[in-house]
Amino acid sequence: MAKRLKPLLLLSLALFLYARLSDGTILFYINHRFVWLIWVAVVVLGIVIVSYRVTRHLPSGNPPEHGHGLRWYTVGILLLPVLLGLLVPAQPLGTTALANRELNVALQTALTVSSRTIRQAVEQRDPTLLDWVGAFQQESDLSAFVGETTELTGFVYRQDGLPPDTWLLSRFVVTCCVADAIAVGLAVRAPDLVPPENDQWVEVRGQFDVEIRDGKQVAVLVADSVTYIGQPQQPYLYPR
Amino acid sequence: MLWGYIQSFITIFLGIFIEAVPFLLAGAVVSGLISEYVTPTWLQRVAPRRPLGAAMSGVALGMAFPVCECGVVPVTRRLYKKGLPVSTGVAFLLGAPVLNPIVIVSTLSAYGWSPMFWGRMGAAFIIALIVGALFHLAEPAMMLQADSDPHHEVVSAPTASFSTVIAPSTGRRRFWLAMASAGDEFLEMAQFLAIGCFLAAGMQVLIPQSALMVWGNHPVYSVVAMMTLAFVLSICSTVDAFVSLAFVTTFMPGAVFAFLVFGPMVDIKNLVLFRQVYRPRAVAYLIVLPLLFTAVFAIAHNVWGG
Repeated sequence: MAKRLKPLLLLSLALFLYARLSDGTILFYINHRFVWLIWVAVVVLGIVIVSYRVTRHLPSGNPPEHGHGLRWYTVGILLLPVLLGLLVPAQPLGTTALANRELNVALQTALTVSSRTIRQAVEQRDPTLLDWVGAFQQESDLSAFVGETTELTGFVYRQDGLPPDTWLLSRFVVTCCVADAIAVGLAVRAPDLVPPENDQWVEVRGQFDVEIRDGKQVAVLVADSVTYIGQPQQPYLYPR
Repeated sequence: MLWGYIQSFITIFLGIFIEAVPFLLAGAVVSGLISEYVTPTWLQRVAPRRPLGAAMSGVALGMAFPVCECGVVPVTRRLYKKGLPVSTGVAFLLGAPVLNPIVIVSTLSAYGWSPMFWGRMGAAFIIALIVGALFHLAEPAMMLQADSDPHHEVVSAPTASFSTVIAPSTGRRRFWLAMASAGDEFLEMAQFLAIGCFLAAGMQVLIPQSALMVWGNHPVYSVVAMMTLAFVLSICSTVDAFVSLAFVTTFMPGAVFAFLVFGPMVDIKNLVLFRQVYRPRAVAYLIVLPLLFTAVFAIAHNVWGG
């Protein structure tokens, strides 16, 4: 019984991982740098599954070990990730996860992780939300950024305490897997617009302005246009 | 709102689990290869017997084994079955997640050749060595779970592997047996990994990080906060150096150091795995000793250091 069940359990896990790899939703869980590791895992799982078939007629060399049989709850626990993955549609982290994570800390990561490349990123490539937030952290005087235009993608987080026409454009930054996800946010002011709902993905085009809040300079993106978009294939940003 | 929390929980749970699978599998494969290719007699001949020598060899083994804390557990367990001294296994278990080549490189790229880098490596080395040597005093039967203890197995069944008993080793056959044994090991460990990930994800959703942040500048509480965070987050040790950068500006250096040293040794996820190798009392030592050593180093640095 156990001998036949074990390869089946491994197969279900391998198929689950393969499904996530093939439809791209693996990026909802881990940094793209580690995707190859999951491919390797699928291949190794395949080899292990074959090994059960090859060795099925051989007497087991190692003694029948205590606990190596399968109990029903073991099967249940092992199937839990697979079942959760199958039954609940894959969904990246959103605003509810934000409520539990410190947004400010996020800004500092952005700074330290990518400080070496921030300037170049902002000047040369298409800067992301993370690049800008990092650049703002690095500069003591933000007035140099006033009037710079940009186009940024993120989801909407309507944080309490902001003026009614202002909300945060947010992204999660993932270093390894979502367990280490850290949020970055940038205030967007869109005076002529009904504020979008939480979690709505948007593309904002606008220019930077500086506001004084609690005696500190804060960068605000004044929106010229806000376009509703679908959730991107790669919802997180990665530290450079 | 509630559904949002459930959704985040599932995403974090699957995230930690999926990320850990390749590492656990790597550990299981090494464990399977050990089960076929390493004989107890050989291991007992080469394993040092003196306390420091035994612990030292465990740390040295850890330096050569490039996986995180999940992959280390199946290997330790298998080596115990082959008769590895308890102290060597403990030093390996605690040292490997920090001192291995991947973590050295990732810590270097996050911190450079800084005191943080040397502090992390040095402290992990010392703690693994001391705790390993202390375990030398213990009676193996009191520390190891019955199915990790080779002396238990002798009673129930012969320990020799298939190839030595039944047939002269044919390379291919041996390989497949090693892989099947890796599969068994992986399945057995994966269930506890799933439980560990489940707990870690639950804690992440339930405990707001801001609750810990208020302590950032206190020499003692900041260390407690960062060690709690390391325990709760259960981040893979191969990347935790990058993650810790997030806290450099909010927390005192000793606290970040504590995160980097304690986190890889003990967290929720691998605690559940430890239970498969050690008896509860030994698991308690494995938590308390690294915790105390790390806290003492870290607080001392915050109070008297730069």
